[in-house]
Amino acid sequence: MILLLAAIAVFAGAFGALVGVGGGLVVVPALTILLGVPIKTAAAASLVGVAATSIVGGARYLETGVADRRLGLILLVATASGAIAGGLFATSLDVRILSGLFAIVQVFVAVQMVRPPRVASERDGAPRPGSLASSFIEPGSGLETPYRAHRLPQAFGLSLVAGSLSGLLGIGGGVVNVPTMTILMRVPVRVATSTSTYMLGATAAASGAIYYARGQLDPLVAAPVAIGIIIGARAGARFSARVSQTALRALFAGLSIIFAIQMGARVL
Amino acid sequence: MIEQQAVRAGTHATVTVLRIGTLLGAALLLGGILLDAVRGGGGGPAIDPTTIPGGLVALKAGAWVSAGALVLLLTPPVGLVATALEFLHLEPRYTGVCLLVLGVLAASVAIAVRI
Repeated sequence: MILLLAAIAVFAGAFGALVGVGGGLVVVPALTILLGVPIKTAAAASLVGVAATSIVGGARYLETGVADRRLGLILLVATASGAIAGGLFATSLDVRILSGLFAIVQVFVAVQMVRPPRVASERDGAPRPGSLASSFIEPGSGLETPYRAHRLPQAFGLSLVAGSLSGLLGIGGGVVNVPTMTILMRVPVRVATSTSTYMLGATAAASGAIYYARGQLDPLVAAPVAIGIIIGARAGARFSARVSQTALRALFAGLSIIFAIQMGARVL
Repeated sequence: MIEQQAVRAGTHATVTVLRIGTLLGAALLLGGILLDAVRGGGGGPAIDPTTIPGGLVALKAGAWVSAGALVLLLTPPVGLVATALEFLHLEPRYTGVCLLVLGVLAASVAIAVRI
């Protein structure tokens, strides 16, 4: 059982790193559907895995100067608050409602996977109220690239949603955070994904404490999941440049739809 | 730009905390898995944190895996403490933001304890 959990987590971590999403979107439905793990236990285990991924990735991104710590901290106030609410609701909600919510999120993710990536272009260079100026070092060239994060108040609201989903479903919240930063705030994609990774840990900690206290965290399920996701994510990141993103995204979209159908069926 | 370089430069403490947390958490989890394979007793809900120290000494699998999970969940908040200290000299207002986030996380623990 432990080896099977680890294998699923390695696959989830690798696949997630290859297509740019968190492992929780694969881990939670895989554990629930394939291994019959209760969805709340799967979500709790996934949160430990999310925390592990964030710690490992966050350290690397902070060192290389790609993650925007200031932006991440501001949005963390919202995501952590949302995660608490999500965790409280999740531990009390009927599992069918959680399964239904997960199915909806999986459909959303599938659609995002097949749509062409949308990034807001910087047509209007004038600073807007509620924006935050920063810069990052391009890993390849070493050039310092300036940017400005816009619409902080609106992003704050969406971060609450991201945190709530994280606490409810045991996912990282990056599925909302990254589009919020890239499309709404006009933050470069590389900065958005690395900042989101940095934020996930504290977000997971906020709701993880509640799952722990309510006896829904089974460490013997969480342990192989956390270790597997770390191994898988590092392997996936290493190979991401060598595989076709289009094919991977289509594959992930298909997998998400299958999960959505399976999870949706549990509502009935 | 010089200011942002200074902010990036002041990440050493946070990165160190995150790396130590990863190693410690992974070691405890792996130790717990091995102990469970040999002696059993690792399954079920995570144990009461106050009983973890005794369980670690007694080589109880449940204590080791619970400790590992707790370390991984607690490392990001401890990292935030390091970040707050780093920002104290760079941009003090972000120390305030860190403390706000830590306040939210403390509320989460307070809620969890009352459950």
